[in-house]
Amino acid sequence: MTTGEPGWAAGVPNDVEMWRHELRRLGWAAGCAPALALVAAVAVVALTAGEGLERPQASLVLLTGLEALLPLAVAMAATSVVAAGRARELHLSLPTPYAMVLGRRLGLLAAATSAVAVVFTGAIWAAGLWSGPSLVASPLLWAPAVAWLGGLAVLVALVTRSLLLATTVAAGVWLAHQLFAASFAAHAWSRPLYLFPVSRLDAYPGWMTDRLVLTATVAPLAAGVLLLLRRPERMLTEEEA
Amino acid sequence: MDIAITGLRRSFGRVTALRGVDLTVRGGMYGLLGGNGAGKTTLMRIMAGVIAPGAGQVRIGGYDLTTRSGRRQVQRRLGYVPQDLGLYPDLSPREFLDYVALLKGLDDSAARRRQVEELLDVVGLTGVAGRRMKGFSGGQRRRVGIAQALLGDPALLIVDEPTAGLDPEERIRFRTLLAGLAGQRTVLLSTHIVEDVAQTCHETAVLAAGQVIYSGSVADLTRAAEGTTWQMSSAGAPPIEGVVVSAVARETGTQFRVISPARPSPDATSVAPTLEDGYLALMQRHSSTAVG
Repeated sequence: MTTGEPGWAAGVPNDVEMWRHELRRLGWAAGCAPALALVAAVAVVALTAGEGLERPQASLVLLTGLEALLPLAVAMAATSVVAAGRARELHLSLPTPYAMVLGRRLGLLAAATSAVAVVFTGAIWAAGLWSGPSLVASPLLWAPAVAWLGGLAVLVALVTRSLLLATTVAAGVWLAHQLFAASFAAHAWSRPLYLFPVSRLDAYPGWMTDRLVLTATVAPLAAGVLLLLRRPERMLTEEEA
Repeated sequence: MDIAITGLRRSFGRVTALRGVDLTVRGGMYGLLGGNGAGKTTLMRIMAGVIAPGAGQVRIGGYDLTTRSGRRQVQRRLGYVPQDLGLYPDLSPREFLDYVALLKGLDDSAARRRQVEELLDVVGLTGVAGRRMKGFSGGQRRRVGIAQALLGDPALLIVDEPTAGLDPEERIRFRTLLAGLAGQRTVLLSTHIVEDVAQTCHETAVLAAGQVIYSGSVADLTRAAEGTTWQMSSAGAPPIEGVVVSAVARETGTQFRVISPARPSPDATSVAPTLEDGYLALMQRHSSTAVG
């Protein structure tokens, strides 16, 4: 059998083939989730435009899409990658560590998220609807929240080995941040941990510093995830174990 | 690939799955028998590097499975067919095998593709190689499982309950395929179907409640029921004495095959035991010892 025969793609390097396989394993639902979250924000603006939606309001909805909806969608997608993957036992018996397989899939999700977020930011800036920080600092709007909520969801998925529990925790935290914005803002210690400062607290002075603090708090979550990934049986669900 | 296990223990929370397993396997096809919950799957998973041993020593081909590097070395030489394969239904067998081959580190594209096509042929799936696995039968899925395990020509093949749920014809085909593979490598077959071991293995071990209660030749295990295997006919209820292995209804009454240390009835005749009889006699002896 040589390259180019029926059933085989011709002349594709192994690395590309591996990433192509992992992209398919990520699945269209998880891969499209970040884009769909932002499309939902655009849809809200489009549907309410005829009802006298002012530009500042439209801008806020779009920023909310970027700052709040995107992290939620990514957290759900990341949870499904970790907790709903198939053939886990087989993967755990292969010489390529399953943690690396999951890392590739989560990496693809992160890449898709970054790409759609950057394109979305550029698009609303070009449309004159951008009311967030400078374009250079714009990743601070969504990236820390995506990493924090996504990291938390993955950590819970690994600890509980339950898709339901992980998604519930991620959605619960997201909802708490939406409902109790004022409470988070009221204390100096909780303000840096608040996920949605621009859309819910109107980008108070010093929010960028707080964003960097939030980014730093991702480190213990990431360390927890890496620690759990070193214990292969953590990857089997309760039913499989 | 030689396997040497001594004092292996493994617990999951409060449940102890393995309580000091000692086992030595030296090439060829080796059967691992035991009922549900005996600890077979845990033992298979430890040998496949899926889970780490709790305590004790596990060496395969000289590599120490209590270390991460040892597990990785064994996995480079291993083909594993788990009980629940969990295949990707949206992939075709060809795509799935190509993916697994890449994960096994078969980097030479041409050689990898050649091997995938050869294995599809070996397991008789060439005709459906491009079809999605979504609608595959249990037998077809198992064959995909075997094919992926054979990628990279492993020295050790571990197969967990391969014939469970298969129809008799498919089971026989599968057994023949496995037996054919044992020529050049060690094949470890875990099953609760005694017939599968009887038809394919020379050596076997029996696991009960997390311990090896027998390891040796299949012939010797069969002999464990010598002098305790009886056949008798009865018009009424089964005999009270012993364990009934089979009951066949006939015009004259029901013919029972019974494992019992003593003659279960005056008209019972002693018969030559099968492996199933030997296995049941061993289990009966073990349970009475455990109770006593």
